Amino acid sequence: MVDVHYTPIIPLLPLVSFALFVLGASVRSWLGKGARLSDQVAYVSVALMGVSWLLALAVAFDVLVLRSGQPYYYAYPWLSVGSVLIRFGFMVDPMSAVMLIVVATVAFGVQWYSLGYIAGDEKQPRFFAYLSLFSSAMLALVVANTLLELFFAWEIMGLASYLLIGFWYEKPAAMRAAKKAFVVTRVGDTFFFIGMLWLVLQTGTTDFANLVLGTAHGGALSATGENAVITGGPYLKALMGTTTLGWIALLIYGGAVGKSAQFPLHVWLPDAMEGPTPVSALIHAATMVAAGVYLVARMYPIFDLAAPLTVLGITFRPLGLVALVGLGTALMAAYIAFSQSDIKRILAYSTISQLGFMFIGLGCGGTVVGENGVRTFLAIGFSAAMFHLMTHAFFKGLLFLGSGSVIHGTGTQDIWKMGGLWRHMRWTAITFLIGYAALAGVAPLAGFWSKDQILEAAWEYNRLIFWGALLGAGMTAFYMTRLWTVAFTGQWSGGEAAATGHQAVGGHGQHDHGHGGHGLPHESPRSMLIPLVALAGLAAVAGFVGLPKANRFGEMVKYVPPPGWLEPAGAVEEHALHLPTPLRMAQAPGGTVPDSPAVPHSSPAEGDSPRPYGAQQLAPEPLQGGALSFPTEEGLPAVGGEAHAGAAHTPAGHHEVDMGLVWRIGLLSTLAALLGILLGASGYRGRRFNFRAPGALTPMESAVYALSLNKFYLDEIYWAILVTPLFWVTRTARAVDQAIIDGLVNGAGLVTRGISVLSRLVDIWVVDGLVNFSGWICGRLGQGLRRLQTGQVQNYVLVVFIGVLLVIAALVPSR
Amino acid sequence: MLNPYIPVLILMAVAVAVAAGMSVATSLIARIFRLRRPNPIKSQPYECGMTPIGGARVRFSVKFYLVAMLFILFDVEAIFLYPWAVVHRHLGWLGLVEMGLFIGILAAGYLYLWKRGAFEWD
Amino acid sequence: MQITPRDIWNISPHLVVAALGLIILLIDAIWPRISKRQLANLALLGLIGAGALQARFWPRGQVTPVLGGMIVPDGYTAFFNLVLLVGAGISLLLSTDYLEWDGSAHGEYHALVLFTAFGGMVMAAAGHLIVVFLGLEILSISLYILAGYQRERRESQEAALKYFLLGAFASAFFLYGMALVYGYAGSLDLHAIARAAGAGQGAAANQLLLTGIGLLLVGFGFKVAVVPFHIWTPDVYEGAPTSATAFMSVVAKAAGFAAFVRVFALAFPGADLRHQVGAVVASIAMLTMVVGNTAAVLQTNIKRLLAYSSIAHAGYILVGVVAVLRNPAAPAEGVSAVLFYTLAYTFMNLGAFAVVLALRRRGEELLNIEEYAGLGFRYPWLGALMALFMLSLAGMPPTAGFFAKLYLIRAALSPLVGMWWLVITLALTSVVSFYYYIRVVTVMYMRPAVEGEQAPQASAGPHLGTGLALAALGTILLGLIPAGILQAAQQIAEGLVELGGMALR
Repeated sequence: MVDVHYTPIIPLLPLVSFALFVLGASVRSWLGKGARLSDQVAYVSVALMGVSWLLALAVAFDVLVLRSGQPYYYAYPWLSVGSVLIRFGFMVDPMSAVMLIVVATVAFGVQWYSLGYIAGDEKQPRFFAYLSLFSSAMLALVVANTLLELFFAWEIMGLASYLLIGFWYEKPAAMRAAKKAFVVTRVGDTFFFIGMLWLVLQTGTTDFANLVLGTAHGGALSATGENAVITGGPYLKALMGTTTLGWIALLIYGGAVGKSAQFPLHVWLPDAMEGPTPVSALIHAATMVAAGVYLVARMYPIFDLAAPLTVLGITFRPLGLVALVGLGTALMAAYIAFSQSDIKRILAYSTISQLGFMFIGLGCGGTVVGENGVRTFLAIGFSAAMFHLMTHAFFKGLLFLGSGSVIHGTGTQDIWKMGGLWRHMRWTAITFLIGYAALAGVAPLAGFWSKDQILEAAWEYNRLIFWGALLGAGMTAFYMTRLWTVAFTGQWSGGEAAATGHQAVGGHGQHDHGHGGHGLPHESPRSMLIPLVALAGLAAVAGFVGLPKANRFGEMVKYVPPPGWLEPAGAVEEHALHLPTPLRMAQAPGGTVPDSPAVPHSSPAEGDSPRPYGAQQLAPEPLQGGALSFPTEEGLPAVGGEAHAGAAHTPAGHHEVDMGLVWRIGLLSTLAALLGILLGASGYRGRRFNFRAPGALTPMESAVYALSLNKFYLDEIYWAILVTPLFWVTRTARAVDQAIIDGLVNGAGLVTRGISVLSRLVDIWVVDGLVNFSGWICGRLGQGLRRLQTGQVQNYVLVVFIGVLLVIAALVPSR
Repeated sequence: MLNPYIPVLILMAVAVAVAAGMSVATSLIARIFRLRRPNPIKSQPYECGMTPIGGARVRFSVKFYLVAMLFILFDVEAIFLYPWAVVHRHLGWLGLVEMGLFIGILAAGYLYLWKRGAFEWD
Repeated sequence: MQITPRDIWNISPHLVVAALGLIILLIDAIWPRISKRQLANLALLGLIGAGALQARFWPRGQVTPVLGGMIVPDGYTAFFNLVLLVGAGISLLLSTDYLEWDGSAHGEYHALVLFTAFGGMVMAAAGHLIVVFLGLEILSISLYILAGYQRERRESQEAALKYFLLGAFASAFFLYGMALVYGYAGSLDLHAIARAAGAGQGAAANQLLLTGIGLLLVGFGFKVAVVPFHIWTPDVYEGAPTSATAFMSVVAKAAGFAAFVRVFALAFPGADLRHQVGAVVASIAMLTMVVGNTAAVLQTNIKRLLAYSSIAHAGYILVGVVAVLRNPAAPAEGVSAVLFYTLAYTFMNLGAFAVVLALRRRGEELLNIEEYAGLGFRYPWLGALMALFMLSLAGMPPTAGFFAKLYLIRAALSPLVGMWWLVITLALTSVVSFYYYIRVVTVMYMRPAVEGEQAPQASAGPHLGTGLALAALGTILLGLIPAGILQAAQQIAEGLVELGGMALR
């Protein structure tokens, strides 16, 4: 029986196929036959990915159903950073299991699809090698057991993404896009890296089981077989309720902003569409960009259990910021999507927008501190976001693969050059329609359920965000309808041939399919259609695992704050000793914390006091196949202790479903979607809206339109305020030897020459004859110094000397 | 801290001032009283001896430098033997061994130069 | 002073390397027709022997100084000596093929490499400033000659001359600094200086001592190439023979930092003093990271790129030095970070140079980055390895460079250091560095290969292949299983700190 113990093999198989590619190419090159492998090798890659997919399904099934949520954990000691032992291993909790299903399914589907899509391309083996590398990294990210391991996978994933975006490097745009994606996401990763280090310094561990996993009642994870939930882990206890935790959370969020293309680091994602379409489907819609959401969800307790932060006089909870940025991103990207004409770019902006929705969901969950200092827990946001991540992966993967099929069949990416595809590409059109309806939020497709949950979370948290998100949902329906109406209905407008001289898009034609001149669009080969149909099925039904009344998804994937966190101020007395000081203060703003004596049930052996940094190490011996073994030490007390397990006030209790609210929100969102669809359909039917025609818009309107068309000018702004100054600094640094130093030397030479001239004057007029000698010396010196201007070493000496003076001046106090 | 040196400084300043003043004064006085009857022979750098031929900036063969450098190297290191000789009784066997090592290294260098032909003029 | 057999045993690795250098010089002079490859093999054998002797001291070594306090054969020495031996060994492996191709294979090259390594080892082991200076000069003079080794090339001559002039200039400052420190402490023994500087009232306000420290800083800063004493680096790296550049980029840096950290960690124990010096070092580090990384962005020559990158890396390591100076509670963290970084840097930088050394185009070296187009597909192994080294230099996991940076930042993030802006600078400049490292990868993998006459050719003989493999192995292993080295570095660093504590008692 395949069970969770097969987890390590899942990311290993694609890695093996990557290694096979590299080795094969090397051997061939060694034998002098040229490095290119034959196309058949791709089947090996797909087969291995298929096995990996089956294993992932089996493991997920085991964790979610057979073990009913009890996670798998296996690790062995890897390295120690200072007094911190980091263990390399694998962990599958319900959330990872869901991600495993999503990632493996989409990855397998995309590899299969690519068999047809990339066939005949000269670089086909290379493509599969890169795809395998990416799949391996993404799967490893999902089953990582420590933050460090996650970071590793995260970076390798970034590298693979870079290689794939730049796959068609003959196009300069692709090369630029690849580099841009890599460097821009690196900006976020750097914050992530620092945040991670800070977290290690503060807690002494990066292990998820120590930091963010626990049971619903606050017990430590152990062999009791309890369902694991995301919660404040034992090592997080000392930090709960501190601002430090909030800053760490924001730094880690920086990584998510880069990877998940949130404002202001979203600029790389639309450009990344220069990559092959399957890549866009796999990486830039379904998996990698969702990794940022996954990261925030993984580290959710760090976000939630932090004290509110204050910057420039504004106090906010870290999750509130996440929600706000998410909302801004969602609206901005949806607005930009209004005006784009490249089918993949529309989908790219749609992805950015939907990622924004996921972050809204995350941000609208967690605990909120009310006016009276009482903490309220909003349960729905967390699982809603993960739910949306899952459904979005299916329908957006579907849409991208569908767009790939469209591009394959028509030879263009410009929706204005398509039209009438409904008639020519029936299968593609049907599946695309399902994906479109799911994205637009048409009941009962997947997107409807997950989006409504996010809206519900927003309603509970903040009405303003709710209305904003609702607007976003309507905008989504609008731009998707625009895409559908223009490309799939009406008459075929002739593809590339219709508009010659439009080279910006035309470049793709040569690559995305083998043959150039198109007559009528044609349906794609079957190998491409099968994944489409499969994903369409998933996009249609995936929503049913998270129905409001029977939310199987939400029961499995959820976040529960640790017990004691939500206690009202009056109850603090009982648990005061269990919580470090800052938390107590935060809990009782009125200062009602009594200096209570030792609480009876906390024996000194439990050692409840906040742990000094690094004092507790993980047990060094390896755990054998330890599905049940967790690295939490026995000496670590569970927060709140067993005494609380039966307490009435348990946040782990089922989320009370207010069906009235669900109905209202469902109605509202359907209304918004309908409005968007109607507006779009009526506007673009027969292509009535054509803002690109001259004179179609008033100046005011065209300004608004230009904002959308030019993506709010963000690329231009970044270029102006970041790239240009960097190059300026660079040039300056390089010019230092040439310009400034020369200037200095010139100056010195000038002064000396001046002196020499002066002394010569003195010579001539005052001490002619006898003192000629000194004049001659000065002349020589002047000449010598003049010669300095051309030489370089002398300049260098001068620089070193100035450096010496500066060092001395900085070091020695002036008196 | 530097106080004891201030008189020295003053003294130095005075010396410089006197020297400069005297040179200026003499040249001024000379300029007033001297006769001015220049002729070509008087203007020569040297009024006696051989008439100079060519400039002073002549190129020497680099071999001279090589020989000079080698001479200084071995010469200076040979000088090191003197202080050792003075205290060699005090240093004992250890000193002898160390000096042996030192000379050994020198000899290795010498052998190297010899074999590489550094001592041959052509 | 007595010299015992035990003392000789303690410095045996040094002696082996020095003696071997002399022997190779003589063998080559006496039998000029001997195969240079055999000479290289002999030198490698000697390096391995010295390494084996040195490994006996791993990782704790012996804390009591020998030869009257001149040499300290502790674990710190052992670590840096092994780094230097590994660096010299791989460099020799890389040079053999290159020199044969260049037609400039002479026995002197190998001897000079050994002398340089010897100088570096002396610096690493020095417990006395005079010995530091001795080692510095042995190292430097050998490097000057190596820089000018290709006598027929004008660039090589120019590099040697520039390096020599500026090096002499910096040595003079170093010597002056020593004199001033002597004026303050009355001794050049590190422990004696520590006692004087630790006991003296207001050492932190003493102008004599501070000026001396500043000048020592200049001397070390020149050797490891930090701004503004980096100014020679690009020209010299570009002009020197590529194999010599590879060698000096790692060995001079390792030796420089070895002595730098030991002197600054041991000799100046007062907290105020360290705080003050630490602030200056921090400014230099910041400047170095900024200038090195930004100037590298526009380079088109791979040697110059690596030169500026080496400057940037010196800046990173300086951050570790700052952590040593400004964290009195746990200076060992900074020391171990520097140790690990130096080792990782040795592997990855030598690896990058190894790829450069393996490539030719129409009888010329392949130095223009644009010429690397399509290399990743033409030579899959070389391309992949170059990508590995570039990403490691940039600090991508799972390579050596990642853990090296991780340790540095961790040491510097300690609240006691209190230099968050330094960490921010490090992080931001690393992002900039990604830009130019990834450019090399981009050119290799995202430009169509040039075919025909103009196509680059790889020629990796067995020596170069071995060197490349070793560098790659080190880069990967330090990235995948750094645990062993990390623990050793930790122990060694604690040993050094203990030594400092003992000196004050």
